[in-house]
Amino acid sequence: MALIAEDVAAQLKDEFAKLVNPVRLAVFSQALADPESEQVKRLVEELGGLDPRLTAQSYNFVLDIEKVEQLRIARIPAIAILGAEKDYGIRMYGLPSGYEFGTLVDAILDVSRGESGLSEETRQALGALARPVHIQVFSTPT
Amino acid sequence: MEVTGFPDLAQRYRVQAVPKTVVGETVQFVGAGPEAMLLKHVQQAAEGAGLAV
Repeated sequence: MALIAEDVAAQLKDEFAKLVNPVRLAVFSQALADPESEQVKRLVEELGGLDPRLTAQSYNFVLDIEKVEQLRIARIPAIAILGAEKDYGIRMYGLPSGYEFGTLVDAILDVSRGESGLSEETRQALGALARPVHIQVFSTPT
Repeated sequence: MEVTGFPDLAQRYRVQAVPKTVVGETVQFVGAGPEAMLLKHVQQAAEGAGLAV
């Protein structure tokens, strides 16, 4: 049975009609260590089937060590939301349920547009930073 | 970061209310804020990390 209900899938297809450039979703799971992570894998694979510009790639957190290191995946379940050629550094950890599902959809659309929505002034200031900065936002599904 | 699945992180960053944002390892705030505030936090974190002399 599909994790994404038919009516939700129809809504998502409408949302993904706004996609500009292709987006790759890399999902990391590991059935033995974290059975819950398999659900995220299935969810992302289903998302990948909703629009031709959206592709899903599944990786095993233990076996696919090269990809884990390349994308700097720290824990599972994890989803990396990647542009066709650019990695904006956006990672989502945990179950994308409740409001977090909307956050995932928004992140996909932002990456596809290649546009953060930040002002020119902010982008210039960020470009002048002396070193990379890690930003983590903690949330709950409700 | 959906924190209910990662109690170790909730503890490490003392997440008691959400959304909680941690910039770098030291700058933290709860809730949403204007873009200028977030930028200030990011700049602070970028500078702060360089003080390890």
